[in-house]
Amino acid sequence: MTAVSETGVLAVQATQVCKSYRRGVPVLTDVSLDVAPDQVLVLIGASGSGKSTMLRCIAGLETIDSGRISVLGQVVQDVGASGHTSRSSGGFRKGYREVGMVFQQFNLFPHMTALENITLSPRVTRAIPTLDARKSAIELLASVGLAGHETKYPGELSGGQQQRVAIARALALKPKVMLFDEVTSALDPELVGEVLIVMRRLAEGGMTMIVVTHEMAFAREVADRVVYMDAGRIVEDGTPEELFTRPTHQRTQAFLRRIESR
Amino acid sequence: MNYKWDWGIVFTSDTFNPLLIGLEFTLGVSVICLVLGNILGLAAAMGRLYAWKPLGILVYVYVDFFRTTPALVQLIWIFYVLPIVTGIDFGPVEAGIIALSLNAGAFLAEIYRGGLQSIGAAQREASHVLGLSRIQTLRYVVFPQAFRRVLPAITNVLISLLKDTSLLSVIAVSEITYQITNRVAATYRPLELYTALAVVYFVITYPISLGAGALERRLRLPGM
Repeated sequence: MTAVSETGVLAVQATQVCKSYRRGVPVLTDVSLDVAPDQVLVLIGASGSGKSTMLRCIAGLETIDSGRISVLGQVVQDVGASGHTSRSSGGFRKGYREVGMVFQQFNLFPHMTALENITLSPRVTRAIPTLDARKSAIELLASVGLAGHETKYPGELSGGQQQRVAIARALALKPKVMLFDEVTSALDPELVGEVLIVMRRLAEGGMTMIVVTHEMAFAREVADRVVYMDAGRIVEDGTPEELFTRPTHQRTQAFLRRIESR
Repeated sequence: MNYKWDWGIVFTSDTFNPLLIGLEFTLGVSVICLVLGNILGLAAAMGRLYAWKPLGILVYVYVDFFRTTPALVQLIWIFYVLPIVTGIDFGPVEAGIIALSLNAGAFLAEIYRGGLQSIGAAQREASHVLGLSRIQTLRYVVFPQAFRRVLPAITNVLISLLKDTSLLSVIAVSEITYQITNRVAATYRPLELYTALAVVYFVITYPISLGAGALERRLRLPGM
C-alpha cells in the first residue's frame, strides 16, 4: 500500500483541521489525515471523539474553523489562521462532486421510489437523460442485490435494503471517494451483514473509502488502515494488524478492551 | 310550532336567478383568493424561513396582524379606510379579494412554514451531498414532502375561505349571501331562504373536502 498514487494526488488530504462548536467546545484539534486513492480507511473511536464530524467536514456538511481539506487535489475548504476562507482555484464545489456519502439513518427521500431516489441527482445536477439515468440505476440496484425493488418506496423496504439503496444512490454520481458514517448502527443485527457485503465488494473494486464504524470485524478484514480518534485528535494510525494486535497508546488499548468486552 | 313553512319561495326564478349570479361571485372570488392566498402564503413562509432578516420580521408582523384580527374587521377596514389612507380607490369586489387573500395568506403562511420546517436537516444533508442546490432541494425534496403533510390543514383554510366570502355581503358584493339577504327583505321568508343558503354552501364546500381526501389518499406513500 503506497501513500500516493502514480499521479501523486491524494484522494483526501486534511491538514491541521480544527473545529469547535458554539461555546468553544473543540470537536477537532489539528487533525491531519492523508488518504491515498483506493485506500480503505476505518475511523474508530468512542462517541464524541470527532470521527463523524471529520467525515462531515470532508463531505462539506460542516465548515472548519481552520485548516485545509482537499479532495483529489481540489481544495474544498481552506481556512487560514485569521478565519478567512479561501476558495481559490474554483475547486470549492468541484472537489465535493467526487465525494459520496452514506448516513446512519439512510436519509432516503421517502416520497420517491428506490429508482427515483437514485436517478434524481444524475438527472437534475448532471443533466443525464432520464432513460440513461434509469438504466444505470437499475444496474446499480442489481449490483447491491436489490433487482426487482425499483418501484418500491423506502417505507416498503427493510433497513438493510434502504441502506443499500442509499449506497446505490451515492454511487450513481460515480464518486471517487465514499464516506460511510456508522451506516450499520441503525440496523437490526441480522441486517448488518447484507450492507457490509456491499461495502466489502466496493472496497475490492478499488473504491477509496473512509468508514466510521463500530464493526471491528469489518475493520480487521477490509481496512487497509485504521485510525483511532479520541477527544478530537488522531491518537493512533496504522494497519489493522498493528492497531488491533499491538496498539501502542493506552487510550487505544482501553477503547479496544471496551469494544471487545461488549 | 305554528310557523307555516313555505318552501315554494326557494324554488322560484326570483330566488334562483339572483342566486346563480351570486354563485358566480362567490366561486369567482373564492378561486381568485385561493390562488392569491396560496402564492402569498408560500412567499411569506419562504420569506420568514430563508430571506433577509428584516424581511422576515415584516412577514411576521403581517401574519400575526391578520391572524389576530377578525376577517370582517379587516374587510371593512380595507374597504373604507385603505382608500382614504392610500388615495387609491377600489370597488367592493377588489376590497373583498384583497382582504380575504391577505387573511387566507396569513394562515397559509404559518401552515407552509410549519410544513417546510418539519422536513428535517437529514433530508437537506442528503440532498447536499448529492450535489443538489438549495432551490433544487426545496423543489424536489422538501416541498413535495411538506405539501403532503400540510394538505389537510390547507383544506381547512380553503373551506374557511369559501365560507368567509359571505362576509362580502356587508360591503354589497353580489355574492350568494347578499342575494339571499335581499330576497329575505323582499319576501320576509328568512327561515326558508337562509336554510336554502346553508344547503348551497354545503353543496359547494363539501366537494372540496371530498376532493382533498381523495388527493390525500392518492399521495399517501406506501409503507408510511
